[in-house]
Formats: sequence, C-alpha cells, structure tokens
Amino acid sequence: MPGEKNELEELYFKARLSLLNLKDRIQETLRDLKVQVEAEEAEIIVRVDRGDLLEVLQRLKEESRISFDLLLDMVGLDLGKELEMMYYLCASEPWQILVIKVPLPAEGGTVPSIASLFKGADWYEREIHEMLGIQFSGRKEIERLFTSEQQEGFPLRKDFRG
Amino acid sequence: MTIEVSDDLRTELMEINFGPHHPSTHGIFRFIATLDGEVVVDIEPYIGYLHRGIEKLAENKKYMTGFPLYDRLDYIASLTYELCFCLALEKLMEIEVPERAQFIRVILVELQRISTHLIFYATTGLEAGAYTPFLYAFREREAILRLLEMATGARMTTNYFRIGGVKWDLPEGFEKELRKLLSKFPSRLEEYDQLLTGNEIFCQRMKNIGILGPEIAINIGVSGPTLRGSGVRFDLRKAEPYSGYDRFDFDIPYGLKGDAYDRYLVRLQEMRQCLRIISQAIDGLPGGDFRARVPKVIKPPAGEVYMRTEGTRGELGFYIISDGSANPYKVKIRAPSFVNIMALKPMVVGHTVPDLILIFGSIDIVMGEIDR
Repeated sequence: MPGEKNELEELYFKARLSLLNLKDRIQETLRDLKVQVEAEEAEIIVRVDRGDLLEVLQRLKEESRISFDLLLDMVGLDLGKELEMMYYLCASEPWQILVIKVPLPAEGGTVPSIASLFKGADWYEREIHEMLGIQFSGRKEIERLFTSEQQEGFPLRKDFRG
Repeated sequence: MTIEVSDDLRTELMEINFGPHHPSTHGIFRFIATLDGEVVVDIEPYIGYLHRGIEKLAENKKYMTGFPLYDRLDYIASLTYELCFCLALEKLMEIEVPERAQFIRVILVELQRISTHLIFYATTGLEAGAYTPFLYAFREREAILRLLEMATGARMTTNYFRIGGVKWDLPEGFEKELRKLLSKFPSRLEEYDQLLTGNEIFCQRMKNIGILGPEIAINIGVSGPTLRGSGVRFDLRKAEPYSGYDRFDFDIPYGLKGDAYDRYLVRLQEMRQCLRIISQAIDGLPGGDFRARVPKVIKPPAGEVYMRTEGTRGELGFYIISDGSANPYKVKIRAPSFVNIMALKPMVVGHTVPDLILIFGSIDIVMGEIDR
C-alpha cells in the first residue's frame, strides 16, 4: 500500500529534529547537574559523573517532549588508564540516539544500577560485572552470567591473558 | 462429584529443570521453573553454555581475520551479522559501497530472513504438536540454502560480505534460480497459512498466551518481530534505512495484542514482505562493481562507531573502537536474542508448562548470539 508507506516515512522525517535543537533541550533539562553535552554526527553524548547517573537517566526518561525510554545497549570499556561505562539510549519519537558516558577508576569502582529504570539492564550489568569487574550498587545480588565460579580475573580487561 | 479437601492440606511449590539439553530449548539453554501445580510462578534462565568469548577473540585478531567469528554468532542468519559489521567499518572508514553490492547484500540478507523465519515456523509447529509443517518448511529452506550456497559457497557460515562490497559477484544462473524460487514461493506461503494458521487447534493454543504489552516491551528493550508483535511499529529498515533499503517498497507487519499468536503472524507476514523486497532488488539489480577499492589490510582511522541494523530477530548492533592499528581495540556486539530473552519471565508467569514451551518458542532465540 503506497499511501501507507508515505505516511510512515513522513512521520519519521518529521520526527527527526535538528541535532542542535535537541542538544539545547537536553542541556536545559539537565542544567543544574554537572554534565557535559556534546553533539557529534548523529549522536548526542552526555558525560556524567557516576553520582548523577540515575538522576540524569530518570530526567531523560521522563522528559515530556523527547523521552529516552529505550535502553539500546550497555558497554563496559577498558581504556587502559581508566574504565568507562556507556549507556546507549534511544528515543522513539522523535527518533534519536543518545550516549551517556561515565568514567570509572582503573581498578573497577561502583556505579549505581539502572535496573530499576530499565528492566533490560539486568543481564547487561551481570555481564559487565563478570567481564570487567565493575560493581553495581542498589540492585539484587549480582550473579555470574556466562562464566563459572572457577573463572579468575576479568576477561575483557586489556591485561587479561587467558 | 465433588472432592473434599481438608483445610490442613498443604501444597508446596515445585521446581523443575529444563535443559540445558532439551529439544525445545533451541540450543543449549537451561531454565528452572517454579511451579504451583501446573502454573509457572517463577522462572530463572541460565546461559553461558555456548560462550566462546568472541568479543575478546576479536580484539586479538585483524579485522578480516576475525570476520568469520561473527558468522558463528547467529549461525542460521550469519549474513545479518556480516552486514552489520561491514556497515560499521564502512561508516568509520567512509567507504562508498557500489550499488550492485548493496543490492546483492539486500537480496541475500532477505533470503536468509525468510529461511530463519521458516525455521521458526517449523519449530513452532513442532512445539504445538503439529509435525507436518516442519517438513514443508524445511523443503523450502533447503531451496534457499542451495541459493545461498550458489552465491557464497557455503550453506550456513557464509563469510561472503567484505568491507566495501562482497567477496565475488553473483554466479551465472543465480538470477534464473532465484526467479524460479520467487515464482513458486507465494503459493507455498499460502500452503503454510493453511497448514498452521488454518489449524484451529494451533490457533487456540497460541492465542492469549505470553502477552507482552508495548510499555514493558520497550522498558526491557525488546526488538524485532517480538517488539512488532506487541504492536510497536518499529523497523530499522524504515526508521534508519541502510544499504539502500529506502529504495524498496515494503510494509511493516505488526501485531495488536502482543501474544504468541501475534508474534507468529508477524513473522509469517514478514516473509511476504521479504519476497517483495527481493523481487524489487533482482528486477533493479544494477551493473558495475561488486566491491569498492579497499586496501588489503584494513586499518580504520582512530575513532569509534556504533552501527545497528535490523537482524532477523531484532536489532543488531556493533560498537567498534579503532586505535588506528590493524586490530580492533574493542568490539561489542548487541545481540537481539540476549535482550529478547529477558522478556521471558513477564511473558510466562501465570501460564502452564505446555504454554511455557510455546511462549519460549515464540521469542525465537538462537543461543549462539546470546552467549557470544
């Protein structure tokens, strides 16, 4: 049905706001928090301290005009000097990706769990916990997901040698 | 006749173990279900039996040496992973893919989408106790696999896409064989419809079980046919067209209720849309190069990239960091089944054990990509 197709494409087209507009909006939403908002190509990057993480996610989720209510992906990174947590969020209408980056000390450290906001975060946190040794606070007891109890060390760290 | 039950009769919850080796778990998957009588009150999945550490392995290999690993994630739809990986690197290296290569990629990926949906169709029938559809579905899947073998040289782990295009051009006679398949497939789909959708017992089994509302589906992050079954009309091929999908005319089937039956119908209708895409692509297949000029050793500029595509089971994501060397610094794979399977618990609680098997099957997981 060609008519239906055009309608849908128009919807997506309309939904795409200009990135700069969006950046300003997000900056306004998070104005009293210590965050750094950047716009790069098609993505918006928000750098947050771990103390503010939950507050930032909560506000972005409940923002009335553009709600980042979908957790796309969670990535734990070993950058050598430090670790980093990345949260890929997605807003469905208008359609936009947003990345939250949280720096962590090299030896591990604790970030607040976001499983209370996004149910899908549960397994991601378990995976990152066993692979990178990052602790998550404020969630039910964390169990291993892939590896057995005999596994020593954190496989996805750069200094790990199997 | 009534049965007298005394007040001090005590019933206990019972735990039963499924798997890891069980015909209905589609791989090596284990879960422990807590039952009250025959009703599931809690379920705890356990994974990791197929964990190969592909993300770590990839860091220690060159970009294209590690490439065949991604075939082994979703081993029945390997081209979808190859496509996503290639697109991610092409985005990072700013490579323009020739039109012919884009079309070839679309044709093969859509063929594979049909073949995985056929497996879903076949196993769903099996799980509901209908054995015949299995044989019919595998007959057509065989024809598709033969086509894939013709084009790529392998039936399953194809290793065919390359950065900037494909490994080699489509062989002679491929188009003729493909058109033969396209001409007979619509009538075969009718046959499938009659075999299962026209089967009243099957429909009654599938309806109203494993209902997943759109709010909870989004909260978990479910994607693909499982999300569209819940009535959310989201498909990356439309929302963020890649590899030339914006040139093709197709619809996004979606469910209304979010039960197992809707998810089944969505996949069945998606096969029809795949056929539409393939026939448009083969009709408009342009000439020209099948691969862009790309250096032999891939060394992308330092930077990071996130690419996502619509796989057969949902959203596929590749997050790659390059430090400018020939090995990736980090490869993170977002596997759709890994997220979709988290929706199992809200779906099954309150249903009986036989329904548990059907609901589990309706998510359509593959263990290779969950365990990675």
